[in-house]
Amino acid sequence: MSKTTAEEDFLRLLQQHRGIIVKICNSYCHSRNDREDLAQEITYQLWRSWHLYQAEHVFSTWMYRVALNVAITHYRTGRKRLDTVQLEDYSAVLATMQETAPAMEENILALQRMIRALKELDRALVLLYLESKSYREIAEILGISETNVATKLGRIKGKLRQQFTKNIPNN
Amino acid sequence: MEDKDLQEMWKAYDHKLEESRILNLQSWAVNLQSFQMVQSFKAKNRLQRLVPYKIAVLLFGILWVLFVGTLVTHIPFRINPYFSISAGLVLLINLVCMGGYIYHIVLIAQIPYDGDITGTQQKLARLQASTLAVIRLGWLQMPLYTTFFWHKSWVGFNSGFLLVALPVTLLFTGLAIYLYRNTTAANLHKKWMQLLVGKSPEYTAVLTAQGFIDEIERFKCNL
Repeated sequence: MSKTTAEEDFLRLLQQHRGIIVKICNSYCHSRNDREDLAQEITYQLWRSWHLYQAEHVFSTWMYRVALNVAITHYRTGRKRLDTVQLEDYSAVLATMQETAPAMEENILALQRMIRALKELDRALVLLYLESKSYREIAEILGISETNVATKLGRIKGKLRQQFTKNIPNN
Repeated sequence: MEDKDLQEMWKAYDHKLEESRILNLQSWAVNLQSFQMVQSFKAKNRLQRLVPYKIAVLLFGILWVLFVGTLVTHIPFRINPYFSISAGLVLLINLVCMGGYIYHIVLIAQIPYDGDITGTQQKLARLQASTLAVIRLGWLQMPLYTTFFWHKSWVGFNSGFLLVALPVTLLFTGLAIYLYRNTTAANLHKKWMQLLVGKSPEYTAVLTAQGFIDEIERFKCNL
């Protein structure tokens, strides 16, 4: 069966931005099965909403909006306590993760664990910040004011820096 | 550690992902149509996971409505108008409740995900919490179960009716109105509410949804 132009456009953009899906799945899920499940659900919802996408808007912003909404819903409806590892306990989990993903650097894994310990909405905020989205874009995606974004980010970044200094002293 | 260090670290993560090709989208997005079919089947399963209690109640409701409906259609109004009116109203309330359940399930499944995050999540959580409206409406049928058996031959000025049947109906009417007015999100944590609705999955879902609505409100406020 030949692909339509819409399918081709969708797949091309999806392939270009697939990193977004991976990072969101890693931030909202603990187990590999859960991650795969969420990745498929995000792709499905992106394709389902594809007709609503307007080409004049930035694709990655639209993609973040859909993907984060799906991830938060997925997390809330199938929430497992296993997911919410306290920041203090992250080193134990880090050790386990290093065994399964040796190619990942310690810092990245630590950052990932710290993000996972945040509340669902704060996670979304940090992910968007790390993706270098502007405060205006973050505010638009989250549906809050720019001042609110700045205040919250300041607080969370402080917390992350503190955790890094505490747990990885050479940083 | 500087702010930019965090973002640099994240960029390094991007490179690692690119190198490791951790997610091969082509493997399951190669044919979107079959992928869509599989996913919509999975979505149905997830919905059932989300609202199994709702579906069970819905099935029970269908059986109950069929049963009451059969009685209403087989017992003519002129033989016992009290029964016909009571059962008819029970039928109506149950049908509205069931309609509400179906509406919630359909809306949860169809909600567009491309809206802003706090707005969309608020809508979803409110939908889950709106089960309370159905429970509230359900209470209103309570007194109707005490008028089912009234009969024109003994309703009136006789001691049995005035001392037993009527007070019981009035008591249940008062209780129904009280529960209708007080089954609210604010009372979810009260003991009497927990005793009444127990720790059913639906109650837990409403409680969680309500908690998330409060969390979103706090997130939206610059606190």
